[in-house]
Amino acid sequence: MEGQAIFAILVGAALAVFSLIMVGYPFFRGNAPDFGEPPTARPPEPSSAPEADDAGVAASLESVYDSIDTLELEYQLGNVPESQYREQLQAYRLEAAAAVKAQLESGAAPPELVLEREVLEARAGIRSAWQSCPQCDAPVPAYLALSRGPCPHCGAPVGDTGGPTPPQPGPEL
Amino acid sequence: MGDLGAITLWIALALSAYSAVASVAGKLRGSAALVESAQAAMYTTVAVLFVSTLSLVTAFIGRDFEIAYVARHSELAMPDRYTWVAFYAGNEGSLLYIAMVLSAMAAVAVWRAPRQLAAPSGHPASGSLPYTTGILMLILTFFLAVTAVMANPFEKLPFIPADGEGINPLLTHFGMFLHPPALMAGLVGISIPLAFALGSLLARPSTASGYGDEWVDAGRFWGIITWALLASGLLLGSWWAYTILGWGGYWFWDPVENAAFMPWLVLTAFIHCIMVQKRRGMFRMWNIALVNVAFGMALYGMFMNRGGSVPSVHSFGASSLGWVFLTFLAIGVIVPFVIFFWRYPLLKSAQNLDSMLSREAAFLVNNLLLLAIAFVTLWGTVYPLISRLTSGEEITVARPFYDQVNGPLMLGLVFLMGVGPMLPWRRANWASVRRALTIPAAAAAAVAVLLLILGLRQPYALAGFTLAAFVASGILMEWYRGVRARMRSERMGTRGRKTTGALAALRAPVSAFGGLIWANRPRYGGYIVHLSVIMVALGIVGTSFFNTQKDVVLSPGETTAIENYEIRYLGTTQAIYGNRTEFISSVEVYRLAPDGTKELLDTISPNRAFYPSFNMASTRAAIRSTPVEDFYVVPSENLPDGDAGFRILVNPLIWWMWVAGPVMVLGTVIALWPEPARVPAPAPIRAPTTSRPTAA
Repeated sequence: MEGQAIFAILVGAALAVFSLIMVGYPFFRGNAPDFGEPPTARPPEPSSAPEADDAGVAASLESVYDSIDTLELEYQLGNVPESQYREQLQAYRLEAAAAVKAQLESGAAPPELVLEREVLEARAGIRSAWQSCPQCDAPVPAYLALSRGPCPHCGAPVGDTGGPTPPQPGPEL
Repeated sequence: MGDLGAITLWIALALSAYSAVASVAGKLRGSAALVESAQAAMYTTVAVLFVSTLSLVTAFIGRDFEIAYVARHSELAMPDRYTWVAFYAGNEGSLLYIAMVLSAMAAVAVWRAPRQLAAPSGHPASGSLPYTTGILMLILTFFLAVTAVMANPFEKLPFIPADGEGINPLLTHFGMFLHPPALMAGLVGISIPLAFALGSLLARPSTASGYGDEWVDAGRFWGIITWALLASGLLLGSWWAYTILGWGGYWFWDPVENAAFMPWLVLTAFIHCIMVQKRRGMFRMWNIALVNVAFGMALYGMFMNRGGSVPSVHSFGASSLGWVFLTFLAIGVIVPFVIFFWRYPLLKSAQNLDSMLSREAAFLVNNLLLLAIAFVTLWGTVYPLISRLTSGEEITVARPFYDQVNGPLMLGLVFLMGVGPMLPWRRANWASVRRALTIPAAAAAAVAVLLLILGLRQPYALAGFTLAAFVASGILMEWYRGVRARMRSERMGTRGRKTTGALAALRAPVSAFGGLIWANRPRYGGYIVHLSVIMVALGIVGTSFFNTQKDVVLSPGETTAIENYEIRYLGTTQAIYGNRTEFISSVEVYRLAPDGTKELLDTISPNRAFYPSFNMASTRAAIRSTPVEDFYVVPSENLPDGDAGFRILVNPLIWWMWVAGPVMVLGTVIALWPEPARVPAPAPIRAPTTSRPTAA
C-alpha cells in the first residue's frame, strides 16, 4: 500500500509538472508578444478588423454557394418553377458577386479568385489591343499577331513582319 | 490507484479553473499568451482526467474495495465486462464520466473551431473563442469541484471489506453500456453550442451595427452531435426498459425520462432553425433563446437525476447534491438569458420572412410545436411538485395527460415533417406546392382507405399511419426525382459512351442514388433521419393502439393462447451463481392457423433472477421479434411447486422502433460528414471579338 501511495505521488507530481510546462509554455516561447501588456493593447474587435470581415465575407459567400446549390437541386426536383428559379438565382448571384467583390477589394480573396481575375484581365488586355496590318495598314486585333493569324482585310499573316505591339497589360493588382 | 485518481482529479480542477479565468482575462487584456495558455490548460485537462478515469477503471478491475465507490458498485462475482457500467453506476463515477466527456468534447470543439471564431485577425484573442473556452471551462470547473469536494469517487473506507455490495442488477444489460453514457454526454454536450452562441454574443462590441453568424456552423455541428447522442440514449433506454423492467412497455413518462426528452425536443427545434440563420441570417434571437432553453432543460435533467424532488427508477437515489444542482440550474438559466437580453439589440435578423409558404415558415411552425410539446412535458413533470407545494397533496400526472395533449401536437409535427422538405426556401407558390404534395397526399389517402377497409377505426391510429405514409412517400418521391435528375445529367455527361447489359442498367440508378446523397449530404442525411422518426412513430402507434397483454400462471405442460399465438410452458430450471439465483423457464411458441392447426415457431427462455444482496429480482424477457410484431414473454413470479406466472404481450410494429436507432445514426453521420472546400469554377472562355472598333 505504501508503494502504491509513493507511485501515485510520483505520477501525480509528474503530471503536475507536465501541466505547469504546458500552461507556462506560451509565456516563455520566443514569440509570446504581449503578456502583461496593459488593457489598451486590446486587439481590434472582429467587427473593426478587416480580416474578421474577410472571414465573415468568406462564410457568407460559402452560404450563398450553398443556397445556389440547393436552389439548383430544388429546380431539378421540380419543387421550384422556372420563373422563381431564375429570379432567386439572379438574387443569389448578385449576393455572391457582392461578396466576391468585397473579398477582392480587401485583398483577402483566395488565390484561385485572384488568379482568375488576373487571367480575365490579361485576356481583356489582349482583346482590347490593336495594331496595324503590316501589309495593308488596316487596324487588326493584336491577338492575331500572337497566333500568327491572317489579316481579315488582305489575308497576309499579321505576325510575320516585325511582330505586334505588345498587348496592353491589365491593371496592376 | 485511488490516490493517483484523487490527485489527478484535483490537478484537473485547478487546470480547468485556471483555463476559465485565463481565457476570459486573455480576451479582455488582448493577451495571446494568456489565451493560448488557457487553451493549453484545457487540452491538458483532458489528459489528466483520462488518468483519473483510468485510475477508477483500474480500481474496479482490481476490485479495490478500499475505495468506497468501488465497494458500493462492484463485487468479486461481478463479471469484468460490467466494469464500464459500474464506473458510472453511482453519482460519483457518473460525475467523473461527465467531466471527462465534457473536457474531451470541449477540447475537440475548440481545436476544430473555425478561423472566424478562433483568430479572425490572426491574433488568438481577436475572436470569440476565448469566451467560448471560458464558458466551457467554467461548466467543467463546476462538475469537477462537485466531484472532488462532494462526491469524490476515490474516497477511501476506514477498513477494507471482504467483498463489495455489487452492481445494481438492473444495470447488467447491454443497453446500459451505451444508454447512460450517451444520455449524459448528450445532456452535458449542450454546453458546447451554448458556449459558441454566448461566446459570440459576448465578443461582439455593443457599438456594432449587427450581430454575426460566425458561430452558426460550429453551433449546428455540435447541436446535431448532442441531438444524436440524446436520441440514441433515449432509444437505448427505451429498449433497456422494454427488455429488463418486465412490464412490456418502453416509455413511462417518468420524470427522469422526461428530463432527457425535453432538451432533445428543444434541440430538434434548434438544429432546424439554425439552418435558417445559416442560409438567410434570420431567427438569430430565436436560435440563441432555443439553445439557452435546451441548456436549462439539460441542467434540470441533471438536477432531477441527482437528488431532484421526484423519485425515479433512473435517478441516483438519495443524494445530497440536489441543492447544488438546483443552484447551478438557476445560474445556468439566468446568466445566459441576462447575456441574451444585454445583447438583444444586436440580434436583429438580416432579412424578413418572405412568405408563410416557405421552408423558413415551416421550420418556425415546427419549432412552436416542438416547444409546445417540451413545455407540456415540463408542466407534467413539475406538476406533482407544484401540487405538493400549493395544496399539500401530491398529484401525479400520468400517461393519459401526455397522450391527450402531446398526441395531437406530435401528429402535427409529423405532418410538417412531410410538408416542410417539399417547400423551397424564401417563397413557394401554390401550384408548385400542390404538385410536390400530390403524390404523398395520394399515397396517404390510399393508406387511409386501405386501413378503413381493413376495419381500423381509431382516429389517432388512422391519422398516425396516414401521416407516416405521407412523410415516407414524400421522401421516397424526392429520392426518385433526384435520382432521375441525376441520371439525366449523367447521361448527358456520358453521351456517346455505350453501356449495355442488365448490370449497367442497375448500376446507373444505384450510382445516381449514391451520388445524389453524397452531393447533398445535409439534406439527404436529414431525410434519412426523418425516415427513422417515421419508424419510431410506427412503433409508437402500433404498440399504443394494437398491443395485447395477458397475465397467466401456468403449470408445466400447460398452454395458453393469445391472439394467433399459443404458448406451452415446459418447466423452469434453477441456476445458482455467486450473486444471484436464476430461474430459467422454457416456453414453446406456436402459431395458430385459422383452420385450427398450429406450427411450432420457437422455444424461448425468459428468465428471472433474484439478487439476495439487493433483495431484488431482475427479469429478462424472451422476445420473438419480427417487423410485423413482437411476441414477448416475461416471467413475473416463480412458485415453489414449479408453476410460473408470465406476462405475455403481442406488440405490433415495435421492431421498427429499434431499427430506427441505427438508421438515425447513419443519417446523422451523412448529414455531418465534412464537405470538401469549394473551389471557384473558372470563368468561361469566350472567343475573342473580331468586331472592329468604331474609332481606331
